Amino acid sequence: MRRYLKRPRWLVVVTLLALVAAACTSATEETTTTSGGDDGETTTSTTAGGDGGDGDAEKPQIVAALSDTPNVVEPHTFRSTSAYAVTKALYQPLIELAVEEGPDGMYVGTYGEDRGAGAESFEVTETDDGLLGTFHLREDALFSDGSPVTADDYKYAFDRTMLAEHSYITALLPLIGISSPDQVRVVDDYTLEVETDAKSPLFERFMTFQVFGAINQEVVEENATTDDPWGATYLTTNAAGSGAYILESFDPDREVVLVPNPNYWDADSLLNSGVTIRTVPDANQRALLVQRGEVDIVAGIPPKLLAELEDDPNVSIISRPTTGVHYLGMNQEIAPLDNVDVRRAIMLAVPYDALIEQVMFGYATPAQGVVTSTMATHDPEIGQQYAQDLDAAAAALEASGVGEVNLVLGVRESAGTDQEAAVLIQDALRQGGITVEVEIIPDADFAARLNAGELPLFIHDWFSWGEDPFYQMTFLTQCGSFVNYARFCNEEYDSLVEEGKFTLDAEERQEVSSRTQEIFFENAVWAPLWSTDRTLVTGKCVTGLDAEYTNVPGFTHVTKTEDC
Amino acid sequence: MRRYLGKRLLVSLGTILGIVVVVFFIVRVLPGDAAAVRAGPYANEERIEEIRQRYGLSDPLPTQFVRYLGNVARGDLGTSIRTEGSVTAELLRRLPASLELAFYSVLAACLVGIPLGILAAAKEGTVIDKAARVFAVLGSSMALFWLGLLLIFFLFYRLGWFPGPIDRLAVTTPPPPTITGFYTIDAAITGRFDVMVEAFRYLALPVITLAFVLAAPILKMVRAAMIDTLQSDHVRTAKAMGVPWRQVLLRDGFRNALIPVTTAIGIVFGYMLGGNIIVEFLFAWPGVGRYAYNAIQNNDIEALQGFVIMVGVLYVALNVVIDLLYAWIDPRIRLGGKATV
Repeated sequence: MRRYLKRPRWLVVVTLLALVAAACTSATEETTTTSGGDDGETTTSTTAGGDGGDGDAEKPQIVAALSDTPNVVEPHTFRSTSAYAVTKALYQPLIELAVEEGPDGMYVGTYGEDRGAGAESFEVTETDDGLLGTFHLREDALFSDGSPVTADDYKYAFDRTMLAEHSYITALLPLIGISSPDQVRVVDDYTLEVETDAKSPLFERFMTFQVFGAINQEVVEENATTDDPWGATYLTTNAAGSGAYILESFDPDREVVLVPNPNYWDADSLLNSGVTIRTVPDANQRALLVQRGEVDIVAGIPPKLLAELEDDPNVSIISRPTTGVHYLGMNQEIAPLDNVDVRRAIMLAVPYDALIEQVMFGYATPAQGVVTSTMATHDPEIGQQYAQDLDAAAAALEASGVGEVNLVLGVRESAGTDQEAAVLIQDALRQGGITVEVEIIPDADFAARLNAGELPLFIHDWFSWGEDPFYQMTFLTQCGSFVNYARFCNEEYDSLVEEGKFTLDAEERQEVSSRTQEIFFENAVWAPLWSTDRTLVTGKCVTGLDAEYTNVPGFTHVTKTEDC
Repeated sequence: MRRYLGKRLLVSLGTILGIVVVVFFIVRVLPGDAAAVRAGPYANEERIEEIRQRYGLSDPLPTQFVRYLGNVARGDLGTSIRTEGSVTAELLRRLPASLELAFYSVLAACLVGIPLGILAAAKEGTVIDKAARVFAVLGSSMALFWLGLLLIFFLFYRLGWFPGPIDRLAVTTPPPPTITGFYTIDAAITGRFDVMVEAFRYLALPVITLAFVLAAPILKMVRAAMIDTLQSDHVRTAKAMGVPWRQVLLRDGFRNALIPVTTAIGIVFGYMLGGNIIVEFLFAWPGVGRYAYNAIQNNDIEALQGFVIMVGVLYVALNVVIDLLYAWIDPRIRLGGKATV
């Protein structure tokens, strides 16, 4: 036996030694290096103008692992959540929320207090029919290729949102009273006017959205084709913006590397030498990576896991309430949900508090309506009525006159918390006399069935950019809206929403909003489950996250403190 | 031998054509509206229809089929509705990662499974044989994701012996110039031995995860084939004539057991060719398995088609290689006789 094992044994020993040597090499260094460590090496792409990298040598490189994969970086097409984080870094809008660093290292601002970004200054005045925004652009703002950012480039971006076939922004602009490219005018190279035909309090917030950031018209038109005159194919994997970063490399589903724009007018405000976003599909692995310091920021950690991370001194959980809403929708076109008493029974049977405690582990706030409890004009007197009351639910069911109620509740396969919530809701409804079958559906199929109105009950979520109540009501609940999956239609409600959209007076807005919330509750359109907090987990030394109107994380202020 | 190869190639072409036709129809019965997912929540019916038109999803099925056949013949596997990129390019970009993982996993599985299998056969009925069989049972019954989670938790998180599940190299390490697409080999060729070591370190945990499970069927097949061969007349004759035991075992025994063993290794490697979705998901490995997972989630028809066709073609090619190996192992096949295994 020894003779015939001699060679294989030698081979096995050598192989094992090689593996051990490989495992032991730089084991400790690897842990810090992959977080961007202290070497701060910047891989700056070659662009015209600016030295690009030497000044960033002392600033840390940031590594993020986000919850989904950046699929495209075209600024006017709908894209994944992480792709929005990337394009926010690449394209600079005219103005931004004025954020300042708070005591906890987070950059926050007061909604309504905005400041210049691509524009050095701006004024918004009322006209007879609407609002006129006059934006005076910075004359030192440059694209990454060194060409100046002019009013024509912003005009090009606005035109693109309205005229390009692939743009989804056409659905948003009517909310601020813009329907034609003629309403955006170039006064001179550095002055842009945007005039609306309605007075919307959302106008200024919209101007902070990344989708209206300047686009280098010359570069895009060089890469456009007859079939693709707006250069959508080119911008799917390339950038032509004037933001704080440029796209060094982009491998969809794998990695995005952002490096500082060497010609950015406010380069000193960047507190890092670049950001690498890697795709790590599994939330548990993302958590382990941030705990071990191999990444600096992770997103998409489920609430249960967040609760476990609370005791880890190596990480920080940055959590902030938002105005997004998670809801149980009831399709009124499917019997017996066309009966308001049946809907009311369901709405009153849902265990709202239990969902926040047991599914969201406290990382959510009660929604209490389509105008959530965290949103401006929320009426708490109406909102508090969204509470579990099994007796009232049973009474409503009896009043409906409907016998046995059996319904399907559809939830998305990718949404773990929705599935957990569905189980609690199913149990609660059973106690209220309603039988629910939970169906976990692949996302694409879920979307198809939802659009086709085939799901009687469903759990879905929404976040409104700008966090405005009438924006929220328009999309989610106005008759005929594509995402009004509950198929709710009420003339008075719709009329009030239209009125509130273009009311500037705060008191009037509140009055209109309260009435719409009342109608919404009376019609038992939804069971609004919760408003998810925006939660990111970072290494303990990481600071500088920001919060603004779109809830999309920004990277410019993110850095690592040395004394932590 | 040439006739044999010619026949195999002809059969392979027919198989590939069958795969191309079948996959077209299979992916189209999957539920879900990829255009609606792609359009996003702000889209209306017009916008969704525009996307359908752009990707030809609204065309009649025969039109789609003819277009599809023409494209495949030109090597164009279509456009991903999710990334708007070329499916061919995206698959080719990801394939080396999956192949590298598959190669080292199968290699490790063979390095463990073959010697253990030989040992178990040579020591049939002893404690060594029993231990090998326990190992095989463990490997066969082990859940890949569970083993992977354990390895990550203990060897990365707790002990820090290996890097975390975040791709093939560290964020700050530029990949080596592409020659084969295997980071380990390309780094060695270009003299970047530090990168080669790092690539091996990132490979270690997913390879161990896969190799543990893959070694089991290899071990079992080697053991069974060796026991069978060692009981054959020619081996007993060799022993009786005083041929050294080592020579009997390796030259007479193992050589004859190679055909079923090659089949087992081929099946294992073929299984790996499609990219192991679970392992690639767990270890954030940027291979074709993860690409397929994303395609399924988003009903990305052309990406899914492209993936299935690519795996089918690779599997057919692998089988041709295995058949050639048979011919090399067994001279009776080369000389036109029948192999009796």
